[in-house]
Amino acid sequence: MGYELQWSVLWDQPYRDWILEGLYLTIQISLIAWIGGLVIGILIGMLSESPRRPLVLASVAYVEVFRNIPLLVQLFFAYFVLPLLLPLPIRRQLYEIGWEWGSAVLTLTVYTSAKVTGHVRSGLNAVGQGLRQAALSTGLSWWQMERWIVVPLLLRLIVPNITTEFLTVFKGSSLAMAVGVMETTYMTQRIGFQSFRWIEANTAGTVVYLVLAWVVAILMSFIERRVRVPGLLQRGAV
Amino acid sequence: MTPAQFFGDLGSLIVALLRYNVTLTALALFIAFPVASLLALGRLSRYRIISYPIAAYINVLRSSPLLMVMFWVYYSFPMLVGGANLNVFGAALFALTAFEAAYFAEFIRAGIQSIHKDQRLAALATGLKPWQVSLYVIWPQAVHRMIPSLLTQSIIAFQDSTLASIIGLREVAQTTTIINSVQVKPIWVYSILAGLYLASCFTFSRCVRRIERRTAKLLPA
Repeated sequence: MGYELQWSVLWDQPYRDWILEGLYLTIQISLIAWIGGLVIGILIGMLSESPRRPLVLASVAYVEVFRNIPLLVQLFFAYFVLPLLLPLPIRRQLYEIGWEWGSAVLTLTVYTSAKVTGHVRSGLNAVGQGLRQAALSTGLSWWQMERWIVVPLLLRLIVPNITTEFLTVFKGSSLAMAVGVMETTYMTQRIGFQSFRWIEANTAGTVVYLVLAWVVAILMSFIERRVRVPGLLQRGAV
Repeated sequence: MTPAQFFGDLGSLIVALLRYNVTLTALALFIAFPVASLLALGRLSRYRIISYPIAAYINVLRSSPLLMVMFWVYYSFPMLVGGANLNVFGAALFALTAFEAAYFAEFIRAGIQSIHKDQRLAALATGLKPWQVSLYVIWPQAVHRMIPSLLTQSIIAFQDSTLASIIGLREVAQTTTIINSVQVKPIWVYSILAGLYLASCFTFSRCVRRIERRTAKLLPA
């Protein structure tokens, strides 16, 4: 054996700051990607309410494309390829702001939004035709039905799925290290290589993700209890 | 880019995909399924000394990123077992297996719990022994129910196998990066890589959806 654990390593500088900086980036990237993914995902998901077939197909294609390509491949694509497709001045701007960070946020946002779109589509199915017909027969216009009946119910329906995506996005943000974003996983590896205290470093990284998951799970169950539609909808209804 | 170059790159990516990603995923899933079945049984055990540690394992693995699990296996375990070196493929296989087993265990547990309790009671009343009830009555139905979610998770595992490139396995994503660093044509090679995955995973997920629909007809919840 001959390996003695020294937990104090994690508290020594610069390792303590590295862990905190990594934690900050993990939370920041995940929050931006989750909120962005939520907004974009709901908008694109609502396209499938459209009576126009191309719009519905666009929303289906969006889900299929981003779900069937590995997140890492999407990230490489955003990082290496996307800037080349843009005009030179914009490309220069991107590299200036730090495209590692930008590509990671963009990829995670789009990936999350595709999954949210999927949830919105199955949520719209769950709202059901009966309710829509009932709404229309009371004299509401199509827009009013969408605005006052379908969307409010939909938003409550998809809450459990959306909160689960929040857990997923934390885990997904670890991939950002592949293009050099110094988030928690990157810092874990950096500490490991620097100090050869791999077990301590990996434990610290794992604990960060466990605590984040735990905090989100508590928030999640609180929100889910508040918005649940009584009798009708529970976890896993969609 | 000439057609010859295009097919050359496509060929080397497909070879890398089959040789590493497909092999890695297939082996990992093949080992993970029996392990996960045992985990699910243990998780459902009435003895807390069995069910609690297993629940802890499942929850920790499901809350960690796969990358973190790979770091554990590749960098930490050799230190724990006294400097023995694990090669990259072995480490990736171990990590992916341990990771997917935790996910599979939850699907298997859900499958078993979706079978109504009355079936167990009815089967016991016919005189079958408890283990016969589990093996011949509950398990076959549960397997049918869990197949779609296990297959969907298998597609995710296949996609996740690209993460092995980060600990240094020369699988398809890393092969793409290597080709690109020699010939510098990122638009082409990364498009081919994305296209390969899109085509295979899309086809596979369509098949899973068909199986899912058939299962729903056979075994209504």
